[in-house]
Formats: sequence, C-alpha cells, structure tokens
Amino acid sequence: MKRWGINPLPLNYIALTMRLSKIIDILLNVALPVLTGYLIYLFTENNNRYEWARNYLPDGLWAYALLSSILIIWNRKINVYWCSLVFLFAVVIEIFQFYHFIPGTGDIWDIATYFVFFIIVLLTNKYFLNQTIKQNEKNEK
Amino acid sequence: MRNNLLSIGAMLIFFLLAIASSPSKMTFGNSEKWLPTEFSLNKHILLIEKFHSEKTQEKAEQFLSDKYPYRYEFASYNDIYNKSGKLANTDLYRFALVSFRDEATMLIQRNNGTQSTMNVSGTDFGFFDRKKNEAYPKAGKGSSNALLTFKPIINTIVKNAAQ
Repeated sequence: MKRWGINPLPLNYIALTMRLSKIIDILLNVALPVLTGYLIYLFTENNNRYEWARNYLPDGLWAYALLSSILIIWNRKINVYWCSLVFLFAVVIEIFQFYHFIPGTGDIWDIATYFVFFIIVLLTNKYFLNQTIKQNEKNEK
Repeated sequence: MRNNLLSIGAMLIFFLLAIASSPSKMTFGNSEKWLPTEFSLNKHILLIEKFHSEKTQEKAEQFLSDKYPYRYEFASYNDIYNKSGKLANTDLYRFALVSFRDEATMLIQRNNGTQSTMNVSGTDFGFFDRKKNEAYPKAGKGSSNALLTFKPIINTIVKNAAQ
C-alpha cells in the first residue's frame, strides 16, 4: 500500500481508468437505452398486448439516454442551463411535430413520458456521480 | 467550450433519432407523386382496402382511430372496384387506398462462382380514383410488414391536410 504512496499511479493510467468508467457510463446509460428502445419497437410491432410499451417506452428511453448523455458530458454534475435546455428541447420537438414542422405526431403523453424519464435520470444521477467520485478518489490514492 | 460543443452535438444526434425513429410518427416526403390533389378530407370518405391478416387489420384500425381524425371506411377489394351498394356513390367514396404486393427476385453471387436466387416481397399502397377509374402511382415505399408503409402513408395524408 505504502509503495503506491511513494510511487503514485502514472497519469496515463489514471486517465485510462477515468476514460474507462466514462465509457461504461455511456454504454450503460446512453447506448443501452437507445438499443433497448429500438428492440422494443422492433419486437412489439405486431403485438397488441404491448401497445403502451411500444408507443411510450422507446420515447422514454430516448429521453433517458438524451439527458444521461448531457450529464455524462458535464461529468455528472447537474448543469442547470443544459438540463433546462433538454427539457425545453423535448417539449419543442413535440410542438413541432404537432404543427407538422417536423415528421411525426405531437402527443401530450409523449411529453409526460419524457418528463418521467428525465426525473428518473436526475434521481439516479447521484448514484452515478458517487461512482465517478469514488473512481477519481481511487485514482488519486 | 468543448463540453458545450459536445452537448450541442448530442442534442443534434438525439434530434435526428427522434425524427427518424418510429413509423408511427414517420411521414413520406414524396406525397406529390401518389397523393391525389383532388382528395379532400372533408368532402370524401377515404376507402381503405382491408388487410389480409386479421391481426394487421386490428392494428391498422387502432392506428387510424388514434391518428386519423377524418372519415374513412374499410372495404374489400371487390367492393372498392365493383362500385355497388352503399359504395356506389363515387362522389363521396371517390378515393380508395389500395394495397399492392410487390415481388422481386434477388440474384446471389457467391465467391465460389455459384449463383442462387431469392424471392423477396413487400406491400405497397396507392390511391385509386373510383370516379375516373384511374390508379395513382404507388407510394414506392413497400415493406415486408404492411404497417411499416401504411402508417407513414396515413401520417403523410394528415400532415398534408394540416398544411
């Protein structure tokens, strides 16, 4: 243990482990939700039982991945400006769809779904922030 | 600065994902080729050819009740083309959305020089003017799953009506 104190970890090793934890964060909170949303849509296309899941879950996972990506970019620290912009962005997309400025159908329930998933991201952010802090502390030791 | 640029990039990617993702929301940009200019959502009742699969029919009906707030009726192929009974009024039931089964043969060339063929099929849709007995061009967006073409067609009709 003392040996590490005398000979601290090389900087490139610290950078590598930090980068690795960020990659895991991206895979878990951005890539996986987008992929899951796509698969839900693909595999429930002809199944009436999962109508709700097909209509709203992919949208919610899209929102989850979007806000997560912004938080990861800002090292899991809540940047009020960008987080507010993401909330606004989701609403604007639905309004644009409603007025047919962009393809799609605007739906109030889509906005509600986005907000539920945004809240989930903000609630779980503390856990992922702690993980990042722990990783950084581990590297500093 | 770097984080701001990354954030803009992320939002741009997610914006593109949002508009390209689901056929339930998708529209086709080539409506001028297949959507009759004379078709009026208020004046005409759109006839839609019934789907062969019961399950697909249910899904289509559900989709229309959610996304198509105008008058429509499902009819069989024969009823659309025979113009008899209730559907004889070609002023009211002037336009019908009918399906087409497209088939193509793919030639597969293997590295060892051998060849084989594979048949692929898809369902496309097009308008039929019952008054003029005139078929409009197909949407040209056929898919092996009929609903993947049907939904954007309905969305496109709704979008054009709003404009």
